[in-house]
Amino acid sequence: MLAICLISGLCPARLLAQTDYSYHVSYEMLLNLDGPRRYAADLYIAASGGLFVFGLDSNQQQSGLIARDSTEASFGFEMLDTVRYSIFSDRQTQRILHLEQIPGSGNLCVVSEPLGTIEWQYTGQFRRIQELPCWEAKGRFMGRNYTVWFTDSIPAFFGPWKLHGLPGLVLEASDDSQEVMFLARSVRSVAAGTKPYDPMATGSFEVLDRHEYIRHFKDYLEKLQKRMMTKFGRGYQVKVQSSPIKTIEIYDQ
Amino acid sequence: MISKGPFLLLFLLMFAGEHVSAQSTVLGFVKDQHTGIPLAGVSVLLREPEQQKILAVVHTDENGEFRLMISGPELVELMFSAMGYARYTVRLIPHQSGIRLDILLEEASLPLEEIQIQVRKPIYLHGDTVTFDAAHFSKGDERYVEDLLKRIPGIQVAEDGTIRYGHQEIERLMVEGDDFFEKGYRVLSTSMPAYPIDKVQLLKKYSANRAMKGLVESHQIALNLTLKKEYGAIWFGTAKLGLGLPVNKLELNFDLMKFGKQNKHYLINQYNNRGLRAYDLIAHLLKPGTDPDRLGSNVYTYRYLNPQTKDIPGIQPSRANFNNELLGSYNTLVHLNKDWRLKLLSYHNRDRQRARRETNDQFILPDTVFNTRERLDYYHKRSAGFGRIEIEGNPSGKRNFISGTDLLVSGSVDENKLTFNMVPFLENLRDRSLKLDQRLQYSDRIRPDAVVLVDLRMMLEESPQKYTYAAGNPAENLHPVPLRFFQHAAHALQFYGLEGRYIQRSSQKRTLELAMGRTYRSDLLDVGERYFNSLSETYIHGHYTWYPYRHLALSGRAKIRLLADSGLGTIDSGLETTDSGHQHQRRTDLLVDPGFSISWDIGKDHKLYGSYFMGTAKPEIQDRIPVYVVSGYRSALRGAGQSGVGRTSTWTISHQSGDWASGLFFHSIAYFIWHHHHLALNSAIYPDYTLSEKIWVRSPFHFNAQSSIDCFLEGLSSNLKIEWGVSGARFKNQVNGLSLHQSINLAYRAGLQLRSGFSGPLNFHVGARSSLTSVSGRDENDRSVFRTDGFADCFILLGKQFEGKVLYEWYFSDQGDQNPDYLGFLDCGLSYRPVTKYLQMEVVGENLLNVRNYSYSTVSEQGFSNTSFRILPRQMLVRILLRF
Repeated sequence: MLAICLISGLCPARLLAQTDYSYHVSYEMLLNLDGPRRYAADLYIAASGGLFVFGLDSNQQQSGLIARDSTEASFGFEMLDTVRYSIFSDRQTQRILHLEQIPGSGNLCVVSEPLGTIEWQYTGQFRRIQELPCWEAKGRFMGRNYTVWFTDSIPAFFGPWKLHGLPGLVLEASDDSQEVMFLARSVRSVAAGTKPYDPMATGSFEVLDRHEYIRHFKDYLEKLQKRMMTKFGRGYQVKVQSSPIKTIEIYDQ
Repeated sequence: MISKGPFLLLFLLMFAGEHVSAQSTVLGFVKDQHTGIPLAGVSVLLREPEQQKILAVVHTDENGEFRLMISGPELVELMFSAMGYARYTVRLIPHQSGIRLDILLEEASLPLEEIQIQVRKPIYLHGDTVTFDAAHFSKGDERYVEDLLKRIPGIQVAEDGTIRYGHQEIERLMVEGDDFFEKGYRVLSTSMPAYPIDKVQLLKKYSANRAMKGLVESHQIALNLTLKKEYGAIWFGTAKLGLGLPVNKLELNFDLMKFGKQNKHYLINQYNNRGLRAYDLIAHLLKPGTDPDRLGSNVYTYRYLNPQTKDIPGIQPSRANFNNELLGSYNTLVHLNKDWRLKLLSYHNRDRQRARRETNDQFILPDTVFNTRERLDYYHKRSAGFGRIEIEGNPSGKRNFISGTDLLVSGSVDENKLTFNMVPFLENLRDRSLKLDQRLQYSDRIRPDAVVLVDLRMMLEESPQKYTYAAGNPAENLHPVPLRFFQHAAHALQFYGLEGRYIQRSSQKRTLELAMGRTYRSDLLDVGERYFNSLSETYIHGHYTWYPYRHLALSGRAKIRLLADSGLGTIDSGLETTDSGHQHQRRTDLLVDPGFSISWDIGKDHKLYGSYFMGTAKPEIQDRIPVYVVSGYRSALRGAGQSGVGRTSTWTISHQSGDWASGLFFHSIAYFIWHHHHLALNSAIYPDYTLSEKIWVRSPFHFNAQSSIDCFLEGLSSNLKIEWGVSGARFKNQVNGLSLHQSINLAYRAGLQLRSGFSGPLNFHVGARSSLTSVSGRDENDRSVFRTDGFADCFILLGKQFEGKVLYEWYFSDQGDQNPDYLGFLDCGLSYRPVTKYLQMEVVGENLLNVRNYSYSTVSEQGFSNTSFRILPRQMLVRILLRF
């Protein structure tokens, strides 16, 4: 049984209210987890925290988990967006709060996890992106090997999604498999007192510990895999070689 | 832009000594210049002073403290940066005894005007097309297209070569926008090398007709491969060899292809004598099509006599296919210029088939009861050639023109040895077919929301048959002594059609389609029969019938499609006036085919669909001809003679709820078809022969209702599928001059399957199904047959390169008063796929229990029938696949 503690809209709203952001970076976020999808993403950066808000482009219909019926020739899932809405990274509490879907249900929850440290390797590769001097760094995080290009001309500890710990703003980031990409589109200062929209601050959500969330997610995946294997007609040997739901985080690693 | 104002150094303490080569430690504290408060999270970059290369990065802790290890004696640079503070840089020389730094940073804002960033991406999304840069995803070791596609996120290639985007299979795999394989794209994806590929384009909402794009809802997906400039054309292919036991079993495949930007070639050769039906590869090309929206669909010649070979109900057709089959094909596609292309397809098939079967029939009629026994040794030779010339032009993106010409020439000879009630027969059927099919289609996107389509089609077809046997005369019942009979029956048809269509999509939710057309069809049935005394070879008598029939139709139809938030409604209505007749008997009919359908989503979990359609159909020429034509060595058929129009109403309703991911899925469907006016049979059944004629009857019907439920059992990690259904029919016919009989047939069926989803190397799939068919007989007694069959399969994964499977299936039938039949088939397979993929090996065993015969029983209102088929004996096959 999933252990859930319920905190009624406490931490996110309060933390956000205290944060005064300096920069606003617009990203194009491309996820190729189950077919390419493009997200519009915004990163608001303060010295003490970063807020990353994202959603599917307006011309792409958002969908939750849809398992098509077995009367069709093919069946499967529409993509399950486990990475939607918002992420707040806080340096003071050393926590990341992430608005997520509870696997197997349409409800949302906030997953709380440590901020952690990403061991970035600086390759010395240099290039300019729109005249901004950028350096390459590589690091492994949440099961993926990321390559990022950041500029030390703009100091920023927080990057897109949950990436952090670099000495400058991340303008490009992608993982080895090219399933996850962040491409900065614009950077600008934020007027003092700006309060960006954050869906995490708009309601009350259950708060789950990361380990509990992952355990629940894996249980759900295992059930899905077994159901997939049993849906084929006679004579087909079925191997489920990959997870039926891909996520930006790879929980097995 | 970034402010480059001077940074401020307030205080620096540095203890430097002589150069050393060992590591040294830098300890530092960073504070706010004015308040003296320690600053946390300040980035400290260790860099080379000249090239600014970053060597290490640390951040200050909550006390503003940082610690760095510096190796080497060279001069280094430290840069301190934090949001809201000016950057500060200091250069220092490492010292063995360590360095201590106290840094004070001055507050400074870094106002940024908006910076717009443009970068090159490996994936481009433009409209409904997603373009992948192949070089970005290639790792250099991909050999075939499917290897490259596997590396592209979102595209999956299954073990059998099926390509899916997400979970939807693609419709086509094109090269430089050209396609001649259509759904047979696996040949291309598993044979074409990957290195010439420049880009992979994913085309969503794909429509083969560009002028239609966006007007008609399409959920189809296609892939297009663009080639690098330097790769004009290369040759590549695959070869497969299968050798089996018994030693004469052979399977050979050889495919060779070449794809250039201007010219494309594809060559295929197949041979086998182990039951595989290569002809199926081209069978779809030889059919007129069943799409009701396509002009000329369902127009074909009629054959009174068909080859005696039939698919065996219940089991795989290849189990009883004693064959020797060769298929050759050459296809090419040439770009004539930028807008026009020419496609040529050609196939040739040569087939030899043998079969043996024995049929025992028991007739129970009010006036007579008798049994018949027939044994057939069947030998069928077929040769078919098919050619297609297709020209397609896109003078602009708004207009599309297609001209397709098909030519089919086929011939077959059947030589059968029959024994009927201990009397031997020799039967010979020679069949020829010649068909010319010309299609023209023009599409013009006259407005962004509307398109006009014009279809023109001409078909010329003839199918003469020559049939002989030595037996009594079933048509005349005058000569009980053996005769030599000869029949020539030829059906020739001409079809000309012109149709214009207008499709307008005024909004996302509303589509209007109007069509009007005119068709002309001419049928000519030419039948001649002659009877000889087989002993004296003298002519006895004969007759000749020449039956022309013409059909001229003016048709129109309208379709309105309304999409609501929770459903879809379609109103479809057709109107047709026909002027038809035989010689001087002319008749004009007004046919109306109304219909509608509604689909409705009730919440997330329930979907309902309902429809009603009325259909009218003019009888075919064989249903009209008023003379008997022999349709077998013991049967003859006569048409209804008088004119009439068949009319049916069809109601359909379906419901589904749940989805299989939730572990429970339920689906039900039912339909009811009422034949207002329908053709039935009036038969005269005698022990030696049967004469039948078509008659018009009213109000027969048939229906079907079925449901299935899928339930995932968590405890067993297996899916349980349960199916059940009932179907029935009331049909009317006459037998042996008795009154019109209304007979009710009912069939009940139920089945279940259990398939495991274990994570380990072993999995199973078992199932069984039963059916009970009952018929009310002519003798007022009900008769029934009970049938059940099942299977038990086991799959084993042995590492990543070996796969094994064992399949067992069994059949049981019981007619009550006869001995029940039971038999089982056992098959197995082991495949090996080396990592290189140039080579693949497989060992297959079929019918390991060496079953020799398979029986199938049926019941009808006239009695019982049981047929036994000869089965291919046990065989083992070693198969090797090479790619080059």
